[in-house]
Amino acid sequence: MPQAQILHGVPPHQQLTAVTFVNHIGIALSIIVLLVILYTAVFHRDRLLEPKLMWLHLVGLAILPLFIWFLGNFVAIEGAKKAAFCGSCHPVMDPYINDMLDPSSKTLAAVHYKHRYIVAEHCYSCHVSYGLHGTIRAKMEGLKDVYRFYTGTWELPIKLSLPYSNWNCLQCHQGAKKYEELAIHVAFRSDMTSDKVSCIPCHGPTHPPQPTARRKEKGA
Amino acid sequence: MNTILSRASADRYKRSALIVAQILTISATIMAIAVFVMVGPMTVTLFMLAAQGFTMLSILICLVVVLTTPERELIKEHFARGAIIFRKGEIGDKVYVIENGQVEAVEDEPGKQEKVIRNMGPGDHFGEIALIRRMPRTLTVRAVTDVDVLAIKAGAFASLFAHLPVLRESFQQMVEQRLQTTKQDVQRKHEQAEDSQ
Repeated sequence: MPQAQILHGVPPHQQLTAVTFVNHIGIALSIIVLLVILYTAVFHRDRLLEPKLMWLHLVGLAILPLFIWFLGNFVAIEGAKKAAFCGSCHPVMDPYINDMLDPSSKTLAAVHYKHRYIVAEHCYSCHVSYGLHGTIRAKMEGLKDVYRFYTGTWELPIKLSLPYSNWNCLQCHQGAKKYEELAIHVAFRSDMTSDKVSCIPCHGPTHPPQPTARRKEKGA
Repeated sequence: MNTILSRASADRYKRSALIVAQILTISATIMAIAVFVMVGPMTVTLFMLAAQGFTMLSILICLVVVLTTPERELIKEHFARGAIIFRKGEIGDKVYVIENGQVEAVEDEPGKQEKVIRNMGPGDHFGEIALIRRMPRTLTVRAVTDVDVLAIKAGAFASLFAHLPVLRESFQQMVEQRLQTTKQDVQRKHEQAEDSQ
C-alpha cells in the first residue's frame, strides 16, 4: 500500500498540471467525436454521402481524431516518466522498484529515494533519454521493450541500450557545494563530462543484482 | 446509363468505407479515453499504438471518400418573393425547374423601362438557353411569389444531353423557339412602349 501511495498519489498543488488539463481536453474531444459519429450514424444512416455531411465526416473522422492523437501521445509519453509506468512491467521491474522502496538498501536508487533527493519521476530523473524531450532512439527502444514484454520474449539480465552517461548524474550534482569540494571531482572533471570515467564504480551499485534467468512460469 | 450504374456502385463502396472508418474511429476514441483516464501503466502504450493505427486508417478512408464525392448535381433552392434568380448578362451554370410559385422573365436594360416578357409557374423550366447556346443569360428572372426550384448543374445537364440525344434535339428546338419568341416579345413590348408615349 505505501508503494501504491507513493507511485500513484497526486499532491494537491499538482492537481491541475498540464497533463491533467490535456487529459480533460482529450476526454472532451473524444466525447465530441463519439457524439458526431453517433449523430451521423443514427440520423443520416441512409444518407452518409450527402455533400452537406462531408464536413461533419471530416471533423468527426479526421480533424478531431488527429488532435486526440497528438494529445494522447503527449499524455502517454509524459505518463511514461512515472515510476508506476516502469513498475507496470512487473516481472522485470519489480526487483528495482522494491529495492528503491527498501529503506535498508544501500543502492544509489534507494539512497536517492529514501532521502528524497528526487521528489517525483524517480526512474526518469536518472534515465532522462525517454519522455517528451528524450531521443527518438530511446522511444524506438521503448517500443521494442513493449513488444518484448507483451510477447514474453524478454531475456534476463536486461541491459541498457547505450552505456550510462555521467550527464544523468551531473545534471544535478555538478556545481553543488558538496560535489565541488571533493578534489577528485575537480581533477577528473573533463574525463567525467566526456564519459571517459564513470561515476558508478566509485558510487554504485545503482540497483540490486539482477536474476540471471527468468523464473519458471506457473504450470510450465 | 453505365456511368449512373458505376456511380451507384462506387457510392455503395464509399458508404461501406465510411462505416468502416466510423467503427475504427470509435475504437480508437475509446482507447484514447482509456489513455487519458489511466496515465501510467504500460497498457497505455499498447492502446496508444493501436489507437494511432486505427486513426491513421480512418483519416485516410475519410479523405478519400470526401475528396472523391462530387457536389450534388440536383439541388433544391428557395427564393423569397422579389428575389432575383439570375440577371441578364450573367454566365449561366444551372437550369431551373419550378416546383412551387411563380417567376417572371424580364427585359431590364439599363436606362430603359423594365418589361415583363414571360410568366412561368410550377412545371416550367428556365435558364437552359445559356447552357445550350453557351451564351450569357438573355433575360433577368425574378421570383413573383416565394419560389421553390430544382436547380440542375451544368455538368449533370450536359451529361443528360450526352446520353439522351432525343432530349437534346427537343431542347434545342425549344431553345430556338424560345429565342425567337423572346425576340418578338421584346420587339412588341418596345413598340407598345413607343406607342403609349
